[in-house]
Amino acid sequence: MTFTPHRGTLKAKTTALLKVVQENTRVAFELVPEHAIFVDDKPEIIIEFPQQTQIQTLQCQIQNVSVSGSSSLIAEQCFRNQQSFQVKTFLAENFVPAAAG
Amino acid sequence: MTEVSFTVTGFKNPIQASYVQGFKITTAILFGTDFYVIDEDETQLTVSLYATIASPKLSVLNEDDSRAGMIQELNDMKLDFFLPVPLNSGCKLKLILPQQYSVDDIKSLTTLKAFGPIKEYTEALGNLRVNPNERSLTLDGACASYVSESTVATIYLKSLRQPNYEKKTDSLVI
Repeated sequence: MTFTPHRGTLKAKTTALLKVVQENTRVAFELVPEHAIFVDDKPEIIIEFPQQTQIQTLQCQIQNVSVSGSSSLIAEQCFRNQQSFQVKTFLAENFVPAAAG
Repeated sequence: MTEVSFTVTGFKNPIQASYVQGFKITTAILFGTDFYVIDEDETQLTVSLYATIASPKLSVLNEDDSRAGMIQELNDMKLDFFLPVPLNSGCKLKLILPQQYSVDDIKSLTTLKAFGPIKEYTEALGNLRVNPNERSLTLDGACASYVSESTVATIYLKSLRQPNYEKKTDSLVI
């Protein structure tokens, strides 16, 4: 007998740092995950774009990674897939939310 | 509150100021080729600033050159500019005249070049919306097809009465 637990939620906020139409921009992501993320699990963040979006995606580069304002993080790897960015190994240490479920 | 934040380069904003819905953010673990999700959310992105129309040029025309641009005369007006961004087929065009002008005498608005084959719009034909209070002229479906950026666009206004006295006008808004 097996059991598959279901996923949790996170609160995400995206902000285009340059808001002028048609300009190349950086997008700031702020995530408040509901659950812990453990470095040993080789965690990733997947950013999927809507299919009908008019925003264009080019090669991606991740910058300014931090947990609650502390920028002690490692690995700034970002890969672009067909309709998503894949951010790999983004944590230097385990992420433990303040109020883990 | 404990949060993870980062920025990603490599985006190009949409061609119009609007919300982009449906960004899905997922934290996950990758085993082999399969992702196992931890947490997930959907969010949106806002682009709010318009681009600036490049190199606008305004000319006032009259069959009698000596009357072109003269106060209180009915003249035609020609606007030339470069599109700063691409436009989708069916784009909307809106002109707001300076407060020194009235839309009352305008007979038609004609678009050409970037907007596609020359086309005349009138209120009588029902394809030009005129708002006297706002001094605005609005076309729905102004672009015949997709137009790339930096294309020259031209608009003619037929029969526009010049201001009552010799004073620099406020700005015309496109």
